[in-house]
Amino acid sequence: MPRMYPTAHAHRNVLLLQQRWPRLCEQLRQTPSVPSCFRPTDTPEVTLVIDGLHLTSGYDRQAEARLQARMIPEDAAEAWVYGAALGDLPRVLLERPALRRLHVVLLNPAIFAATTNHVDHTDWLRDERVTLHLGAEQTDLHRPFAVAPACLHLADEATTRLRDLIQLELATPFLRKQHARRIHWPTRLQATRPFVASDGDVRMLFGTHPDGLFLVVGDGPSLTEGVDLVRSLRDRAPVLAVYEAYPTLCAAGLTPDVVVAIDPERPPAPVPETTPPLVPPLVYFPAVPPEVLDRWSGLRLVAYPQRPDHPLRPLQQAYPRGTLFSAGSTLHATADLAVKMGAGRILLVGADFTQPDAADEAGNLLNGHGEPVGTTRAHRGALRDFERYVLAHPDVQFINASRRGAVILGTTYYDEIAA
Amino acid sequence: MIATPLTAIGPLQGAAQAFRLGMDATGCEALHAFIQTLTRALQTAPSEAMAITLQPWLEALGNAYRRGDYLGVADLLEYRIAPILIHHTGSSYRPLGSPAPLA
Repeated sequence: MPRMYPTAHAHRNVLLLQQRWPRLCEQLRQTPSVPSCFRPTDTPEVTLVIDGLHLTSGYDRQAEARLQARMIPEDAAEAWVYGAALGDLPRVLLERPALRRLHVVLLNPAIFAATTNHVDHTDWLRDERVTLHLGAEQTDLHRPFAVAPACLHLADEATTRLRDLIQLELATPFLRKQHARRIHWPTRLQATRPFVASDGDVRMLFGTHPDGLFLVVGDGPSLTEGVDLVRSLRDRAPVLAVYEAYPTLCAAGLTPDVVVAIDPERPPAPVPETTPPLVPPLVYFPAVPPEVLDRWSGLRLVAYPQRPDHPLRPLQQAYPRGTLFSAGSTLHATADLAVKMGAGRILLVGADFTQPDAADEAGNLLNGHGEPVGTTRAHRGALRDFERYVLAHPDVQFINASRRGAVILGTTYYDEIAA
Repeated sequence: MIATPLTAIGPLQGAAQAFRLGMDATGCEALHAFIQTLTRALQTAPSEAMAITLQPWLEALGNAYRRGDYLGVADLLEYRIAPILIHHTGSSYRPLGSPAPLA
């Protein structure tokens, strides 16, 4: 925010911000200015282009804001707006008599500061129902919400996690649709039904190791170095492994206590060269390819996803079994199994949420050494969902064995505890 | 379905609406469908006049898309490209979210 108020808009905006949110105003004052900001002249309505992105429509801002406002039910008494843009979305929402509180979250203070030079925000900022927040201070996503999408793309570093949560939420309908398209579910359910009918229930494992330490093994790149840790703790804690990590463990001569499979698409893992003498139980969602079940010579236990709108619903109604949390990643279900078995502490091995050489357009994540690591949008989404799960279980200590993978909020590092 | 400039309007609107709501994945998918439908429409019933009028806007669309300016993409779709498609089919068009015309 400029110290000299280059425009009358800036002066009015700053006076009001100082009056209502003095601390936030001070932070805005200290933000560096955005590198590129201009008002295009080829559109009928005033808008701003910041770093090459239009903050709003240049043709009909009102119509755009009304469309965005539809994300929030008409009768909502409280609502959240992520990104102020030019203030159109808050203005439209404040027309609603039912709305009692409107939280507007700034995803990048520098962007908002830039807009205050060009646009008069005082009409909506003056409304007593409005509270302004800094995105960097928001730990979770609130609902109902609507977004100013350009602000999402221009979110600053400190708001990365919140930005990911919003994008994940907005992408969920698309991801579910894609998921439903990739598999012909009636055929899949028909193929797995005979297994479900005769296999056991995951609930037989629940509560079997109260307050215990568990090793939850994922198939991330750091698993290679984590194998020795698994070996050293093998006799002191149950080892639950994702199906995809099973071959690596077997190759190292390690047999997990339970293997978890939920992925409907991954082909069956190759038969390990060193077949363990005792095949562990397989906990599975009946979404997995039937070949996985057919080839599993050990005990099989059925579980269903915790969310109610999954495609396995018809099977669940016919054969009710226990449920496990998963937002798409096998690691989620494996960690939840450990929690439901009674874990007090979970040591995560190979839980990286990264993919070397991959580049997500949303930017890289940081690893435990503070270095950027390659990731994909899917890994990033799985990470954010896992973080929410960890934060929702404060009674369980989650320990990350490796610093090579992405930082997982709410976990501590094994080297800190072991030191 | 036969691809015509008019059948391209559905995915066009879908893309613009999704981008304005921040649903980028849905927007990109709909944009892809729009480009495919439009390409087929132009191959099936080539209209040189329409192709010439569209060309600069499609170039601008590509540039906006490449820099991730999805609201810019939505504006180009709804306010520049759609009217050209509509003009060549003789229909009327109202961007999503805009108020209904008075009776």
